[in-house]
Amino acid sequence: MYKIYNYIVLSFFFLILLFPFLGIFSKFNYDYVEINDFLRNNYTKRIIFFSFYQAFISSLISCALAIPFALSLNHHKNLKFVRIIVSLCGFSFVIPSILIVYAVIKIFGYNGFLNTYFNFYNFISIDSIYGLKGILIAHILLNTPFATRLFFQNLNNIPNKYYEISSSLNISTIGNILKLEIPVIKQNLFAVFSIIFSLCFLSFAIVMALGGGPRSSTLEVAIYQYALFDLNFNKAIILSFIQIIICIFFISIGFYKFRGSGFFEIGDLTNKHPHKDLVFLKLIDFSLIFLFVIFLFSPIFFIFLETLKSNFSNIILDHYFIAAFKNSIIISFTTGILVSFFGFIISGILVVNHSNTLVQQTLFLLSSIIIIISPIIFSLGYFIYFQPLIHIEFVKFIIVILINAIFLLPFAILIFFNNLKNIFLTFQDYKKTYRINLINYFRIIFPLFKKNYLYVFSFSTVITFGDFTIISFFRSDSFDTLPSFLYRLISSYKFNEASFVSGVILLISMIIYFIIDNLNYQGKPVIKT
Amino acid sequence: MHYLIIIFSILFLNHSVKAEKLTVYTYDSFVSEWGPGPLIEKTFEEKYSVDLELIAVDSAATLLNKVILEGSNTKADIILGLDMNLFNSAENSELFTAHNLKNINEKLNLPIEWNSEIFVPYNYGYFAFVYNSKKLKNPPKSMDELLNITDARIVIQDPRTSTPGLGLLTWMKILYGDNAQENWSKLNKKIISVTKGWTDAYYNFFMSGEADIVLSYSTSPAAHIMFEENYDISASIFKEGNYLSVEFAGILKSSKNKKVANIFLDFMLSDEFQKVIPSTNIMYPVTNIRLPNAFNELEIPKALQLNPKEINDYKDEWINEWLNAS
Repeated sequence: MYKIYNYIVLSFFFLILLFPFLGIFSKFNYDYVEINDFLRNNYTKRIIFFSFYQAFISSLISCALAIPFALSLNHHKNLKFVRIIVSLCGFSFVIPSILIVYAVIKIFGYNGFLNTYFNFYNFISIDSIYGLKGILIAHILLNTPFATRLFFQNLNNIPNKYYEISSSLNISTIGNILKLEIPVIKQNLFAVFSIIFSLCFLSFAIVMALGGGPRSSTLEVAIYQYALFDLNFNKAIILSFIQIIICIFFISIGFYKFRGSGFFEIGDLTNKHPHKDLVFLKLIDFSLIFLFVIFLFSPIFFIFLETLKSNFSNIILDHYFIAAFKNSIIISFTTGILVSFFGFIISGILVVNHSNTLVQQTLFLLSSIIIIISPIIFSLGYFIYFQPLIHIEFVKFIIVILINAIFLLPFAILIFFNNLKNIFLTFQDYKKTYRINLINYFRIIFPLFKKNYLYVFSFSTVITFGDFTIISFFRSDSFDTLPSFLYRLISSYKFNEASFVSGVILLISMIIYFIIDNLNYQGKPVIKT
Repeated sequence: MHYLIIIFSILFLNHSVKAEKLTVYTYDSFVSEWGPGPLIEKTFEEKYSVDLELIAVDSAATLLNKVILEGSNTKADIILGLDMNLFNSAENSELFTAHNLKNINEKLNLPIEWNSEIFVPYNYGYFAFVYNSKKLKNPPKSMDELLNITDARIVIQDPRTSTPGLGLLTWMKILYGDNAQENWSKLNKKIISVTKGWTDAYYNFFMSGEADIVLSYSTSPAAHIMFEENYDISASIFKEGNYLSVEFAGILKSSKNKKVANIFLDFMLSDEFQKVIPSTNIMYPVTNIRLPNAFNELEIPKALQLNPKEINDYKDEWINEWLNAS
């Protein structure tokens, strides 16, 4: 009986992976000379170089800034406001990047808050934010809090015993930082750096909106531009393959291990740091925390302030806004429901078949392939394959939901699998002994993974809600989601309306995120991989 | 029973007198509140009892891509906003059908002769670099000066998505031929952003002060004179000449409303349509109508234009040159 399920699940995975490739290969022109010319082209080389360069600089600065911030937060982790800051740091993983774009333009742009109010004697003198400068600022704002949260987790895991030993050895505060805390960060530095590097490498909305044109374009943006601006699918496909090869390299350096795993896992925060009461340390730490909070969370503060200032009576009844809002809600919640349901079913099948290594490994391999291929390539493939039907709104809904769901399923499986396996191994004998039928068995075990279920649902919903990459391929004037609508408002000089829309996106994302984060704080974290 | 008959009759009548619908894809600034769209829609609907739906696509050059992608499934009857640089690719796409307008050259007043039996022009202008004369003290008088002397932050549009962007690409080609890439490199050093469409470049960059010079039209200053009495915005008329842009519309083969679509194309050449153009689309009308006074302040440049076939044949190569130089 289970065998049928195995084949259904395997075929399902094969099919969803097959569609984009069918699309891609149907349009690929195997002209060796053309491919060779394109690969030798200076611009192609520059895009690849720039993709690496901006990702390297962004992750370097993000990590460099995150280390002192994480150290300072760790010293005062028992304080309530530090807990809130750590929570907000995690929000950066789910915040829609288009909001960061909006905030960077409004805060750091030529007519931004800084240049308008703090440019004393032309001290700041921002000429233009577009290009590498804008990309770096946005990536730093997005990734430093995230890196801080990862480093903070590492620091928080240092056993109290170590501090007791260092205290008995009379090691000073600085010594503690250098000998105990920095080595822990150092151990994880490469992993954190590579995660951020990968995120920046695959960044789309930020490069698209702040890159300022082809000079500062990356592979992700170039694939989109070749496909939709030039209708040159061949070039887009060649770049997609280059990107896939690079992503395989990322996976091999351990990126896979981190995506979707213990990002939000925070241990017990009731431990007190032994040096938390030292006056000079307090002074340095609080100053650092203050400066970092002001800088790193400026987009959040700014968006809320601008939303309150905006005249939202104009936009709230605008039919484009209502349609985009409705689309966003339908797409994100349907994706959330689908991902949590199918994630559970697939994980369940994997667990039931835990002895069938072949099926299990094939499924894991297929879900890894999904992670390797970036959303832009999947979108390109589906876009090409379903081109004759793409103008039908219902088809767009289905495809956008499907692509979002495909990308989130591997994470869902990752989250469900271990917990379900433990439950299965614990309760399977009871099921057999008491001859409990499947429905009753499900009723009994459901409370045990309810939290995972809610977590997967909220996580998938919030990520889909903020998606800008997939929708870019399928959006039209009559089909927008809130992030693509916001991009349209920004590029058509409607900043009043943009303020309100960005506020709505931020508020909804934050509410869903805090549900997720709260799940991690209440007792046992939901993710244990 | 009588009531039922009355209700059905009303419903039937309502259905039968429901206006025919005509869908036009055009660019964003055409349908904006300050653009010609709202006025034209109102006049056309009142005059012909047709429900005119103007759908804005981000930028003009993406119009053609959109209908190519949608193919015969497109809901558009007319594409409005293509320009001469896309003439040949539009013609070769085989998506358009011939109009049934007769002797349109008798009505037209264009700097070039119009020979197409598929497309109908509705306005024209010249691409130009626009600046604020209060801020930019030494505006360029030639492309050569712009590339080699002018020290300014420039914003242009992407030639793959925008007609002014594509216009600049062909303008550079007509002026520099094989040396275009080298000259693009010079220009690119001054370019702070390449936007997808005209609106983004003009409002987000130029009007907000982020850029000193924007690629626009020689007629753009007229808008500031007419609506703000602002005489500071000027357009550079280059001694080499400025590239001509004639915008046109065409009926799609897939249209099920070809009759109404032809009526619309004919309406485009009427005084009612043409008199709206200079004050809303800020371009020259294609027929002999009186221009607003602000247009008298504008200098008319020497028109430059490449053969549309040559543009279509080499466009990809020239875009590649531009990308390589960026």
